[in-house]
Amino acid sequence: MSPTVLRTCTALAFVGAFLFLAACQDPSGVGLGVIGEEGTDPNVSVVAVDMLELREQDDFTGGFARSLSPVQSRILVGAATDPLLGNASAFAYADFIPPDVIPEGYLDRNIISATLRLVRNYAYGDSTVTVPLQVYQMEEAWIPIGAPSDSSFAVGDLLVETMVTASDSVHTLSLPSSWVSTYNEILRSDSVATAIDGFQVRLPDGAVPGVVMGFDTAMSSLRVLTAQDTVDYPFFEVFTHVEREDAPPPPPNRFVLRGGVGETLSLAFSLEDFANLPIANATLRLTVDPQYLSEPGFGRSIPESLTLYGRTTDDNRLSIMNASFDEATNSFAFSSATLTAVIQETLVGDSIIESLELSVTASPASMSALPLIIGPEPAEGEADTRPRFALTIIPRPS
Amino acid sequence: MRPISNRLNYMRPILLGAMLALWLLPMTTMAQSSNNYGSAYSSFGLGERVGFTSSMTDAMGGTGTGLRSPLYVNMSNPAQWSDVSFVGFSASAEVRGTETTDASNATSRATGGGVNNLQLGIPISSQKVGLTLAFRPYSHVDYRAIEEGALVPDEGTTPVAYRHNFEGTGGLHQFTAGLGFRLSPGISVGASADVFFGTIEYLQRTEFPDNDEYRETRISRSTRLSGVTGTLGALITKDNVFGEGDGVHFGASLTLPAKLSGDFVETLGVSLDRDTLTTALDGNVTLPLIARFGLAYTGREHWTFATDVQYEPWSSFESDFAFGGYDPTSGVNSLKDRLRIGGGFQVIPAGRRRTAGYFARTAYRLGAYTERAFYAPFDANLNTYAITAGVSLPTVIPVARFDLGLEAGMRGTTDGMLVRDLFIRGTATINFGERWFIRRRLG
Repeated sequence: MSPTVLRTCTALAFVGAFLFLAACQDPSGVGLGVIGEEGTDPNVSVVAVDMLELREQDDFTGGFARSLSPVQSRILVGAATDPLLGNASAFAYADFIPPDVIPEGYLDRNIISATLRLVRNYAYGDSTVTVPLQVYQMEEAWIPIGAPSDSSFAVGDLLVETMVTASDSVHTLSLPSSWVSTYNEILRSDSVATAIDGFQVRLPDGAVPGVVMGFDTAMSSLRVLTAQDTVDYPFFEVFTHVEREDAPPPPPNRFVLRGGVGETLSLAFSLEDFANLPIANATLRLTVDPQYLSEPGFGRSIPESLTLYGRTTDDNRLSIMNASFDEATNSFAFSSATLTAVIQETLVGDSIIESLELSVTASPASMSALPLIIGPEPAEGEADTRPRFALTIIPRPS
Repeated sequence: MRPISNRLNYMRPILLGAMLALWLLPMTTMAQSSNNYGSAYSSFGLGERVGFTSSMTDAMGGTGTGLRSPLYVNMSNPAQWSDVSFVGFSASAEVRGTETTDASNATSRATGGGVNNLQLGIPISSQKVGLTLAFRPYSHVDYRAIEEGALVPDEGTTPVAYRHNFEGTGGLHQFTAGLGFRLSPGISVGASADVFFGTIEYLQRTEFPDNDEYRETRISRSTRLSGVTGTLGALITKDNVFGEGDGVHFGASLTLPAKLSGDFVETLGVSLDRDTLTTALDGNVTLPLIARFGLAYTGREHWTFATDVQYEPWSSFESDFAFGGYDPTSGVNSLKDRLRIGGGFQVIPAGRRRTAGYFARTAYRLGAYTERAFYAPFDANLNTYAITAGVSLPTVIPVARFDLGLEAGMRGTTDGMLVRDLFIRGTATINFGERWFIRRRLG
């Protein structure tokens, strides 16, 4: 055999081999019978809540209207008598910052008027009533971050007292000309952020108009006018002081969690039967009873969002995730990789989370309440509407 | 100034290293970019047996128990290590491709590979006593198959698609250290200690490709094993049989049964973030002996022929742990005795003429083998038929060669639940030697 023939055969063999090896693709179900492995279908097990307990936990209704965290997108002002959820009242604080963009020449023109523009996006109670509102100037700087919802801050002079109709979408509260002249130059200077500490908006003492209004902090502002300009100073730091009296106990098979007043719901589940089982998903479902809150002429709302926390072994509270209300199913569903990981670690005995807690999400602030269905135990074949975990279990290979 | 010849001596390792990198890099890159899977049959026992003993013997049908070579460190028989006359180093990498077909004619392709073999041979007394150290795989597990389905959640009607991935990884590695002695010009013996170690892992990975709310789960069952055994070998040579300078060689080697100790653990999770699901179980595994017999003929210049028989009684395999095809709890045992028969030849057109052309000095190898597998799923004896080929390319250094090998074959059948593998394997090996411990003489 000549070297030329050997060389040609060799080259062809290696080129063919390379083409074969390069044409790889993912394996499929081919060979399953040989391997002898047989996966059992994932299955879903539903575990109803074992224990519910209402606990106290500070609510933090303060925050920033924009840019920074924590965000607080709503402030509340008003008072209402509520035999179902307990009487409630609220007043708000708001400070503002200079606008990002100002009209050319604005800084050289005199301010002729200033108004607080409160854009309403929420009402609890009777939204048809008229509401007396007072605006106080803040006496000193105040810090809303970390302040519990029952905190108050020092106020100075009363600037405005007026009546508004709760159903209006925008309330315009004119500040007195004396305030305008006092702060005319400051509002157009670099010191505006520190020289003015904002306002308190509240009801007169003793007033119970029957409604608590909520204002969008991102849309509301201090509006000033010059002869040529309209300039909005957006809200920045905001805070709502909330008071809620005790509510009568709910009927059997219902549990009520109220927002804004430091209520948190501790949930416990018996997961011993699932110890060391792998799970692909853990979904916490909460079914609510909207009918419980309905009353002609009195608006009550279900929270837009709930926050699920984990209480750690060293008594810290870690936020796991939020869930929004699904009107189609009247339920909240918590489902995420993080929550699944928390439950998985619990099942294998490796979790720092001791218990789960549920609170109404701090933003947007509201007087909402969560009327949870907690019973009865369903009959065979009926859907379970109690707080429950749906665990998607991957059976272990035998 | 340092003499040019001395500088060349220093340059040799660098040049060889660079050439090795040039060969191995594309192969390992290909292996890593591939899915790194192989045959479903690697799920049986401790994995698919690996039989690489040297690049020369590998390309000659996996023969070599009776073959003598001063250049190649041949792992099939420790008696051959007495032939070592250079300090020889050998490194090998491989790429494997497998196309699997089942009874429905569905196919899947998989590619894998990696570093295959590292060997070092040191002549204690040239052509009389040789020491060999080697690290190589004994078996590898590299299967994967998938099963797809849809999960109906507890609420809502939209099914959630899932995919079970059944994957096997790992295998046993073997570290060998031994000596070969030439007792007389025609008789050599050798012995080695063989340390086995490795982990065999079966993974069920369930993923939900279309839904982020579902986590991938990884349930792993891994068995870690280690143990020691020994190999004995003998080689008898009869020179000048058909002509001056040729030789007929008969060799035999026996690797004793190895008792491996180990532990089994089931975990959930990935990498370091694993949770143990069960208490670790301790136990033992007994590997069967390996008996090899080989007959070879080496011509004076051009031709070399060899044939081998290898036998491993896997029916005597014992284990406290369950492996594919073997479960001591349920009594399942699909393991049978492995028998492998191979033969091949090598031709160097130029013989010993160093002045001949490059391709005339290249060694060309061809071989074939058949093997009865050590597993018999569904009581079906499975056979492998393969051809092997290779070239050994000379380099500027007389005692260094680059070897390329190729193996293509068929394993199994598409009867019933079984599958047929068409496989191809490419190897690249560098072998080079240096004379160490030689006292320089003047004049």
